[in-house]
Amino acid sequence: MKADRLLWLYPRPWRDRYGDEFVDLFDARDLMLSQVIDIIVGAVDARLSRDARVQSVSAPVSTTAGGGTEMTTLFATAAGRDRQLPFGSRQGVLGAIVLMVGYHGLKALAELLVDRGWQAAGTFVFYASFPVMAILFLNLTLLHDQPSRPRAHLVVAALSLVALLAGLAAR
Amino acid sequence: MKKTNPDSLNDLGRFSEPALFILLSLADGPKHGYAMTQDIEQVTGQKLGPGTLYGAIARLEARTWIEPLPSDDRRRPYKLTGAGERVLRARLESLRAVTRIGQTRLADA
Repeated sequence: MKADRLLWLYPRPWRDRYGDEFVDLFDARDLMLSQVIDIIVGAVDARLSRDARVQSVSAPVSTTAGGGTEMTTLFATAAGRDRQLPFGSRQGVLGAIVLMVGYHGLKALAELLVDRGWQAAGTFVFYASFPVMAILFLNLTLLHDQPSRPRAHLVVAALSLVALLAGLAAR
Repeated sequence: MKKTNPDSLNDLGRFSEPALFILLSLADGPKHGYAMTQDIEQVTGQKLGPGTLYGAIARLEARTWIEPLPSDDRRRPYKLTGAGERVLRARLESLRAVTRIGQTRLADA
């Protein structure tokens, strides 16, 4: 596996800032398993850790000694930008609505199926309801700025796994 | 409550050691990421993974302990800042004290 295949795991500002030099580390060589794991852990860190979040898409490259970068960091911190989530309030509200409405809707559907005598189907929907909605929530929030194709692959793979586990639980 | 010094490498948690290695690597001049990993492996015997390397670089850059230099190349070099040099000196001094105490205790044992 090549490094550029994993770069999309990182948030867009991070990719814009470090992507080229990051991929260049490997000079198109295949990654070892330990490096793949390190990249995945690093991507989670870049998304979740406030400390690792890249402040600006076009981080300044100082042409003078000192000065510029320090002032940018100071103003970014003063403005509270380092406390921002990696998604906007619109995505957050939309994701929360989808999560709550979808979860309760699926639970109601599960109860209806059980009432109609479709015990296995009702149990399947019940077990799958929260994981499915949580995956859709993540898709609308943390992953919303990712390229659509790998994001679709990830969502389909996660939903398939949930379906498999819920199916086994419902048997 | 644990006290942390914002000017200390300890504040970087699991990235404190990789960050120390990066500061150490830049102490003799600017280097890009690949050159840093090579230098760190040669000096310490540890090969930093790419996620760890850039996790530490992002933290050091945010604290202005290192800064990027202009480059037309994909490989962007970084240099140690004055603040980074002070942090590195403080950590090396602390390590020297620990080494001295350890050697004294081993000699007395």
